[in-house]
Amino acid sequence: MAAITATAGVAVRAPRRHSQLSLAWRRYKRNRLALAGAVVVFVYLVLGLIGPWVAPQNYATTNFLYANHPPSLRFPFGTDNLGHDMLSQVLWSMRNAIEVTFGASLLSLVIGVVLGLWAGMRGGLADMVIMRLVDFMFAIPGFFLSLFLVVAMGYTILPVLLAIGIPGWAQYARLVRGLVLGMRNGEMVEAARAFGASRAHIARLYLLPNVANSVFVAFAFGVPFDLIVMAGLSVVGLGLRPPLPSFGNMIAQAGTNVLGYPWLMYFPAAIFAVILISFLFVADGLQEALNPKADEGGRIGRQRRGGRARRLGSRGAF
Amino acid sequence: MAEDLLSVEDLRVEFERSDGTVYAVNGVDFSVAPGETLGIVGESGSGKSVSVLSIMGLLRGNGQVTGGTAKFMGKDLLKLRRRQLEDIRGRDIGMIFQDPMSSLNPTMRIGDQIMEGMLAHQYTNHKGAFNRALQLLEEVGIPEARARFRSYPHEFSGGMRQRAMIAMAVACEPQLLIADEPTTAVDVTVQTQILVLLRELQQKQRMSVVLITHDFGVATNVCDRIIVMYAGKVMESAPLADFLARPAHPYTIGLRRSVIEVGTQAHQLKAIPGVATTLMAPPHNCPFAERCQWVTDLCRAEVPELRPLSDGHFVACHRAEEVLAEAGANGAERAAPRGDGASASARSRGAWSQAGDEATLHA
Repeated sequence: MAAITATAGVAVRAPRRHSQLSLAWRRYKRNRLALAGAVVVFVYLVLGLIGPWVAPQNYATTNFLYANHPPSLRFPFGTDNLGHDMLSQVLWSMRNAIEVTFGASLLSLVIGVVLGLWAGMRGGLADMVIMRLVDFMFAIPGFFLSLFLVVAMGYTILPVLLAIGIPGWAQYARLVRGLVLGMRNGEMVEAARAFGASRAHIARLYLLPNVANSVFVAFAFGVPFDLIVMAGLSVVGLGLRPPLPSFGNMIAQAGTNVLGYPWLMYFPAAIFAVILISFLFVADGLQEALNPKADEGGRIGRQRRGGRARRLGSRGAF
Repeated sequence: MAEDLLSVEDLRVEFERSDGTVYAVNGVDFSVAPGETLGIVGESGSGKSVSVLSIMGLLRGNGQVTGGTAKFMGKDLLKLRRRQLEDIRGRDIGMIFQDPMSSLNPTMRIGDQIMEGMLAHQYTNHKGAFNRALQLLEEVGIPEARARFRSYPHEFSGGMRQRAMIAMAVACEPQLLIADEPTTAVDVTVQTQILVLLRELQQKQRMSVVLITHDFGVATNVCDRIIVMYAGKVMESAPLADFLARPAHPYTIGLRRSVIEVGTQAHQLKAIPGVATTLMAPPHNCPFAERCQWVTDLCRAEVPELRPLSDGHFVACHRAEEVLAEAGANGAERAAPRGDGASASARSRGAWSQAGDEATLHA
């Protein structure tokens, strides 16, 4: 026996392999767009964090003498009809957008993952009730639910965050439940049960870590989606109430006089668009990096790029 | 038989399917004495895995135990509540599965997975579990235990994963180890190593082992006693010596003739005609009747009871004596060269579960 072990030992000794994370990073790096998107997102996050301190003015400060001022050295992005400095408005908007979208996505994620795990793990009545709720959420447009919630709760950061976050859980719940169902009767869970693991233990240490990748990717897609919802709410006048600045507010207000003062539209809309598309690139890159099996045949670069373009195209249409 | 570690009586399991009820296990009895290795042999779908999973409370989905008892250390496993069963699983009964590739948690380090069971059952404290996990890794033949402790399953080969699974299963020094086709998914060379390892661990920890396999070679190699199952019933149960020398059930003999050994030519094989049946109703005759060459009207009319043939040798066949007289000598002839030793399992890595299918192909 000892001899067998010894030979087996030599045979199986393998060079130290790279961690899953570094492999994922390596796959991510190959995707130029995702890399560029990550840089933009990083800058966006940093500006959002320090924005209020580097902004030339407070978002509520008005300069009546400089109303509707075109871009200049003093007001790089110009001013609006009340004389708000648009650069400051943009910087504060970033802060608000980060707070609302990340908070809302996180809220959706937590509710969705918990309910999804529960439904998938317990099955039976719990599963049925939760999945009917999910169907209900998919059946009514989430945007209108958000509208109602904003009207009911108010127009400051937290109510808007809740209004966007609460309707979003169904996506995560469905994703997680599907993945859990795939694993629940699998050998891994059976083995875990065979050594006496309780349901809670299996959910926490076996199921949750194994859905984390997919949930993270869903989160990466969820943030830009919530950004759109947030702007949409502002456009119909039910987002953050001015003077709280947001991209939606700025774009909506610029629309009324876009021929006279086009800079009011150009800067916020362009920055908003760049941020949005960067998030989508990042999410796409994460999907490829974290779920490589979903993107088999990645060695042939051209094919992969074609596939990505197609997918982005379809998303653009949406 | 009061001293049996595990004794299963009249176990019945049914599966609800959209096209009706499948009678997977139809009154199975067996027992495991302390320190004994019991082999359960049978084709796919014969109910061998299901009977063991059901007494562990691990039946999936629509399977249900509909009758019987499974006494383990004085407690009926089938009547325990979930928490009590969770307590026993992993602590008193360890389990190894067929596919080590998919049984390990890919997001958890090997060492942590081995420690997990010990900590969950409060077998020892954290430090003790760590040390025991290291010691176990060495015992199951994983070199550089300290470095391997921090590896993830994907960094292990199939054989090493199966070794890690074994380490997990025996971590709490269970009284009983259930191995469900532990060598089906690994190479023949690894298979031999795993079997040797299992035997070593069994002797060291004085466990009983239930080995489920479709491989006659594996079963005759490591088991003290062998049960042959067909259509959810025990066909024959015998100590190894009797089993090798005096097989008395037509199905057992048919299985033995289907085993492919190195050097066997196709024309020497004698496959059992037909395919294994799935029972959609409780058996009302001998389930093997339609594939049996000794079949009589009695076999088609009445379910044969499992009855003693000699001491410790049980057969469920109406004509066991005649079968033994006619074919037993023949069977013994074939059994003789197979004896024991680790090489036998490698020689006869059995393909006989497919033999039935082959027969229908040729027909």
